Amino acid sequence: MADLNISVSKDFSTTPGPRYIKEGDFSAEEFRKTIFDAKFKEALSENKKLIIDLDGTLGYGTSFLEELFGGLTREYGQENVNKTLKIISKEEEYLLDDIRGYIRDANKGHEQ
Amino acid sequence: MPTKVMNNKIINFLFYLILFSFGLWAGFYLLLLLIGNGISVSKQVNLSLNPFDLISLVVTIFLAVYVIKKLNKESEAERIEKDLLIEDLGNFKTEFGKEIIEILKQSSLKLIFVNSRLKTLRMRFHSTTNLIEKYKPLNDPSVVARLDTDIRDVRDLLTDNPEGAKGNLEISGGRISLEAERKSQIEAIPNKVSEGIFQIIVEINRK
Repeated sequence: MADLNISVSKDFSTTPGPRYIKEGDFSAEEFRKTIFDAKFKEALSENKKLIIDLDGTLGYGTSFLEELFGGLTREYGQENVNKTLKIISKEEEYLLDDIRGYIRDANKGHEQ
Repeated sequence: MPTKVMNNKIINFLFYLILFSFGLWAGFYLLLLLIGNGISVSKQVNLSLNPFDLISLVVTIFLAVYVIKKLNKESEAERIEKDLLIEDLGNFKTEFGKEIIEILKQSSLKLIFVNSRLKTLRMRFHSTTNLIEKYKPLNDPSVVARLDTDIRDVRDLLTDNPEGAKGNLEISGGRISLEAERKSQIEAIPNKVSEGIFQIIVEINRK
């Protein structure tokens, strides 16, 4: 079965913004509501991988990344996120460590 | 090749040749002393020349000069590597400090601008530390991890407003407003980064 692919820079914006829609354009909340969550659910239900490419943007704020990956984990749990999501970040490989931390910390919120 | 460089090379070569020749003769007479034959200066000078001795001498001199030059070259290459890495780290430290000052000068910051500048800085840092890992791996790699945490902390302090958290950072219309407390936390980080970079430079220099 073919994996699903999503690129933040090509499918959403080269200038990812804040955490919430009320804070400004191209927020993580907007990304999740318009594109990301639907694809994640599809991948999860069909037992596929969702490959998200973070390259090609001008940079990410902590809130955007935390809302995207941490928020996803708070909703679906670390296990589902880890088995479904594959993250590509060749420009900024260190982001993968940051994101693992957000997922780990957010899972505590999911378990509660 | 410039004349001055060529002259220096010739002078170096002659210097090492003379030094080696002197060492050879000094070693010969020392050997005579050690085996107790004493030293006597004959009135007659024996001018016979053993070709094998001559060849051996020439080969020995050649090898000595070659080894010295090779060691010099390797030593110079190593010094150049160290200097380049140290220069790169120094430049990063300066750039990082300047960038933070520039950012904090502004009363309201465009989030996209901050994201972009911090991405560039952090990528630059990792590019340098990857080179260090490749050419002069550190005995204590945790100092690099700590530095990366400090640099990431700047991004967190400038762009992270956790859900439910209030105060000292607000984002509205894509712009960041920082309260004094958040600003002073950010201001402290360039000093920590400076200290970390100093540690790395000292370790590179000692290698």
